[in-house]
Amino acid sequence: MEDSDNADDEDGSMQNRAIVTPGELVTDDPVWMKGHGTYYLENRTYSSVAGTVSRVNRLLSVIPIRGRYQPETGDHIVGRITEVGQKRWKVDIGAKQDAVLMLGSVNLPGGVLRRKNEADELQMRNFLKEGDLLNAEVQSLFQDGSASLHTRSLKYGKLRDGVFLKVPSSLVVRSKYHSHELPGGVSVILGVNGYVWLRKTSDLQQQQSASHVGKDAAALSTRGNYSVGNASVTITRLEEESSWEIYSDVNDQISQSIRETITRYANCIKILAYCEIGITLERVTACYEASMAYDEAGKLIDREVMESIGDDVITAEKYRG
Amino acid sequence: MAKVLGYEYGKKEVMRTKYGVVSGLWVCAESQYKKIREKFPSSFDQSGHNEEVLKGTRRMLLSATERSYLYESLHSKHIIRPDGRNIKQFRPIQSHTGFLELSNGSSKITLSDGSECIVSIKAKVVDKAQEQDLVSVDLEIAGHREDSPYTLSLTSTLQSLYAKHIPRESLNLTSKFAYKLYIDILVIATYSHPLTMMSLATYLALQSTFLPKLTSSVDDKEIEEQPTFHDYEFVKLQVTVPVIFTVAVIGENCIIDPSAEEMEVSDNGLIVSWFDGKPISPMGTVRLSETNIKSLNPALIVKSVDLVSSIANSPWNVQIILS
Repeated sequence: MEDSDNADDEDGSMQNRAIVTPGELVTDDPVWMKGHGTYYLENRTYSSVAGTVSRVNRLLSVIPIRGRYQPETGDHIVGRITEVGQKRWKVDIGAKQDAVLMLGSVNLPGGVLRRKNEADELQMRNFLKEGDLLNAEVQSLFQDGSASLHTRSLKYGKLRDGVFLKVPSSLVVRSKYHSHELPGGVSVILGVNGYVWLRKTSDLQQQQSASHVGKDAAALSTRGNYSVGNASVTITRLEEESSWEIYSDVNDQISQSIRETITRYANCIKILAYCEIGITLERVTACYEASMAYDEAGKLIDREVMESIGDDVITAEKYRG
Repeated sequence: MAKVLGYEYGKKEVMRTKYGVVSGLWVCAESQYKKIREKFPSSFDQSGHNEEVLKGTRRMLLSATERSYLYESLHSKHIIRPDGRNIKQFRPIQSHTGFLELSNGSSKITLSDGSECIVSIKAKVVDKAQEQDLVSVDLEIAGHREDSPYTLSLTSTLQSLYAKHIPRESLNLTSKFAYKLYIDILVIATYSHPLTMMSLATYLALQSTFLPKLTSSVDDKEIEEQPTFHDYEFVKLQVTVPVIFTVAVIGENCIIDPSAEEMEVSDNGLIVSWFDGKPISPMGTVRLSETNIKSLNPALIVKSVDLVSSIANSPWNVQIILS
């Protein structure tokens, strides 16, 4: 009896209530199709998570406010190898299950146009081993919702020259680009799964951003004289030699000032996460500027400081509109 | 039922039991407990730290490049910690006190990395002649069995620390009776070395402990009398409490309150206990990471003690830590 009373109340206020809690009645109208985050009992649909109700045509689902990352095809993510197995790596990406990275989905040393062979299977730990961090793209999803990754692009692969931090995945907004260059010689990869990699901007990257020239011109400038005769040999050798480098475990030289900048950026991203502000390139930069009021990066871990900088970022954004 | 009852610190002992050969651990029946205790008092009273015991700390997985980046940043003369702290800076601590209605004193502290610990202090009136220690520590760490070597070693460290340094006079009631404090520590989550967190939480709980006010006479030497107490008035417990600090050593650098990442790349670790303006036992090395343990230059021990002293002896700092 009480239930039905409740149902009437809920129904009346359903339109303006945005947030539902687990076990809360969402609707008793059977015309709705049951989507994610809901369950169905005796012709009534209840929410199974805390979040906002979304209605697309006849599909009713509840989008959780927090929770584990749910991979989607095409997501740019950062992950950590947890297991090396038969022709595949298991990767922790902060989702319900570990993702899979097949040996065939990575760039192997020795040229792009190379088939994998038995020797590669035996030396998988030379490419990626437990604990290694990489950025990758979600290639496809399995039936159970776990992801299959690939790193078949020059922008993906093993991560070096920096630090790793985690933020809630719900705070990272999906966008076209997740790899950004920040002022101060630091780059950031804001993985859609909430894993973040902050690193020194590589010299190669700097060159590319300095002059927007084509591949050939860049090759020309790095190697000096360009002669047609021996070019093809040199390029293949360059590829062979440098391609092992994509799996190297050695960092570049990183100066004190860059390290300090990286630490400050890391604290800025933690501030945004603490204040529950969605993390974007603009906000990270704005937060970094606001943090300059404090001379030591170590002061940025106090709660009051974090809150005040978070407020600054939001008010600055409101002013700009 | 056999039960692990204590831990041998000084020398390695090997015992043959029905569980196979147990080294360093006493596995025995309850009835044998007293005999062993009499025979090997050192295994129960000594407050050293056994390195092997501390394997219980959760392992953190780092990639080779992360590890070398962190190590270089912490190793250099101009030290840069991953969260930008200086060598004397603690992570922010949140605390509550006096929230457990049924205990005499309680506290809860939360570290910024999500580590959490609750301490409850209960007092009981005991006959002084019959009780050896007026403090009893009970420790529970989520994810570890209560009889695991990890928990046992931490318990015995804290037990001996508090039993030794909480003065008996402060728990005195009459010439015959005294309060016995039962310190129950529950570690809900721990991501870095838990000793500092536990000792700070215990410090706070003891500082906010209220005991029932005695209404009967203090002197009961002549006349046999049970102590009686006021119905609702309480007296604040006045004690000085030791605090344990954790220091990680990396190269020539010492840093206080290492986070999980810092622990993982550290060369070695030290715990320094502080009481009444000076270092006390237990003080020694502690294993902060599974791999990569290097020997310790004695000069660095002095350096770490100096570091701790500069924090502990400045009243402003202690206030900051414990506010």
